[in-house]
Amino acid sequence: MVCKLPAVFLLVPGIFLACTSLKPVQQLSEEARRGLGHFHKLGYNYAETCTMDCTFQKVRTFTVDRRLNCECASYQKADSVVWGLFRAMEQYWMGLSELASPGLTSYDLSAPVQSLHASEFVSLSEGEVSAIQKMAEFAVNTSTGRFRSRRILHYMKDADPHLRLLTEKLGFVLEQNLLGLLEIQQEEWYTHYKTQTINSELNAMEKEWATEKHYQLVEDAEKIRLKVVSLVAMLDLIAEKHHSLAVTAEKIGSENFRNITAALSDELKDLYVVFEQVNE
Amino acid sequence: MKERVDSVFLSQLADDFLEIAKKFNDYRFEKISQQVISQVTFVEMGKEANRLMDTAREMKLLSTLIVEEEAAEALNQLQSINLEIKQTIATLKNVQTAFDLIGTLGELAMAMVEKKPSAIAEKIRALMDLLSEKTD
Repeated sequence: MVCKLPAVFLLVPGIFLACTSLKPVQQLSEEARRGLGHFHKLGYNYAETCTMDCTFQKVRTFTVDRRLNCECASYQKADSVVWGLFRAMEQYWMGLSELASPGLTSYDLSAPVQSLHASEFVSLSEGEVSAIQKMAEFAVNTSTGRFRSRRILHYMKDADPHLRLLTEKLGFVLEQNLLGLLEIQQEEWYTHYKTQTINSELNAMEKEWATEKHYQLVEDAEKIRLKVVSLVAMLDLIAEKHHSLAVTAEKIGSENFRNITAALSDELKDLYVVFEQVNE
Repeated sequence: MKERVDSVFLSQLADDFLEIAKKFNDYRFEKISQQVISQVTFVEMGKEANRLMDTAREMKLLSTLIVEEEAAEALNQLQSINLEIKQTIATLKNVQTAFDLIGTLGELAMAMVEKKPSAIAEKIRALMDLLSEKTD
């Protein structure tokens, strides 16, 4: 028996389902990923502090070996702790970004619709087949969009306390400990070069060179410090905006969600400027 | 005295050690310039200051290593959320395969109803291709 199926019935689900745009989530996660991406540009880590100090100790004692041979295993372990914290956060934002990407659920329903058309159970014109396919795709894509929206908000709420704690810990090990090690290194440079300047066996030119070398190291250290501080500020900002969206359970399409994302973008830009200025 | 040594406490202790070392250094530079201490004393005091800084260095390092334990629970939780997100993404991607499968099954059913052996073989092949794509 062949029945004529009014195509309009297939349009109904699509009409009742409002369109759900996940663009704000995509923007938010892209901004967060961009901010976090500065971690890769830092160019300074625990192993680097170890090598820096090891080299300095060899230079001051005129120790020339064929290889540098620095014992930096504990420093490398510290780097793996830092990397573990960072990686979990980066993967979270990558996941949210992919989950919100428009391509993820752009379903193509040509196969089942063509199969239906090929059967003799339903008589459909080419135009009706095309309309059914389009509306069915619209309905399916919209409903999966709603599903994704709910899941994203659920994940954001669940992840928020952990994300905040990890941000706090990562900020701490970078700002207090990594920069703390740099400060210790700076004190060692200071005492070494200051001792050179009061050494009566050195001439004025040599003392001048020691002074210049010291200030060059101070300048380099300041650049590292600024980069770390601005990176930590980026991490804090990202966690703070995530928190304000998660606790208020802001609807993805809401004006407030967009405003918070826009604010994140603007405030991050200022920090990028600081970071990039010293990264040149 | 703090009952439990945590990463923050160790880090602050390292900062205190560094501050003492700095004061120590300031003192010996001041005294050597005034010629109140000998060169030997100056060097020995420098070694003591370096020892303080080496200890501070170890404390900063230890503080970071302790963080791993302090953040372990949050790290595990976030990693399982990340895994859940990945699974949701994989499920959503599989929906397309399900639609393709429905289409191919429908075509196979039609070929069987119409009793067309060549079409049945062709549809089964298409079905197998689709399934192997899915399992790749």
